[in-house]
Amino acid sequence: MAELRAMEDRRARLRRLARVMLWVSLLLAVLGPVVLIAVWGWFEAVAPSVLPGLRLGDLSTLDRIGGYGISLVPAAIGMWGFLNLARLFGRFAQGDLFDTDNATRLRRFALSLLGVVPAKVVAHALLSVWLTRDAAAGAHQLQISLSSTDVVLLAIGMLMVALATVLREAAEIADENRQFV
Amino acid sequence: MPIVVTLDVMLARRKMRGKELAERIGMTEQNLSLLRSGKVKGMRFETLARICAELECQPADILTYQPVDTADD
Repeated sequence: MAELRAMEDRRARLRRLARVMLWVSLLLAVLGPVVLIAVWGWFEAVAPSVLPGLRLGDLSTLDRIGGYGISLVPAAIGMWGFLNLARLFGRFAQGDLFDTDNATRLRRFALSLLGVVPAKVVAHALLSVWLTRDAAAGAHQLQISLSSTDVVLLAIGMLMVALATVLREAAEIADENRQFV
Repeated sequence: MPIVVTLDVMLARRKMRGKELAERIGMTEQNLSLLRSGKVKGMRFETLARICAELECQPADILTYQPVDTADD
C-alpha cells in the first residue's frame, strides 16, 4: 500500500514537472524567432560575440532582413524540436508515460538537436558571406565555426536518439503488459 | 490459442455474476469481461489466485488446454 502511494506521489511530481516543462518548451519555441528579431534590430551590439572578427559598418535593412532569414533556418529547426518536446511533456502531464507517440516526439526532438548543429555551422558561414558581400576586394569573409557547445549538443542529440529507441521498446512492453489482467 | 478460459462455467456453478466477482477481486468489469472472452494475452498468478479464492476452485477449473489441430491450418 505504501509502495503504491509512493508510486502515485512520484507520478504526481512528474505530472507537475511535465506541466512546467510544457510551458517552458512552448516559450522557448516561440521565443526563438522573437529573440532573433531583437538580435537583428540591434545586431551591432551582439555582433562581436555572434560573429567575432567580422568588421561591420552600419547594417542596411536588407542586411538585417537577409541575416534574419539566414538565422531563422537553425531557429526553425530548434522551434520544431521544442514544439515536439512540448507535445511530449503534454503527454507526460496527462499521465501517458509509455506510448509510441512519446518515443516519436522524443526522437524528433533528438533529430532537431542533431540538425541544428550543421544548420548553425552553415548559417554562420552564410552570414559571414552575406554581411561582407559589399566589402572591398580582399575583405570578403567566410567564417566556419564549430564550438565545443555544438559538439556537446551533437552528443546529447545522439543520446536522445538512443533514449527514444529505448522508450519505444518500453512502450511496446507496456502495451503488451496492458493486455495482461 | 489452445488455452481456453472457462470462468463463465465456474461463475454459473457458483451462481455468481461477473460484476460481483470483479468487485470482490478488485478488477474492473471491463478487464474481467476481456478475461472471460479470452481476449487477453495472459493472466497474472495474483489474479488467478484471487479468482480461485473467491470461487473456491482450482486453476484447472477456470483454464483448460485444448490442443489446436495444426493439420487443418
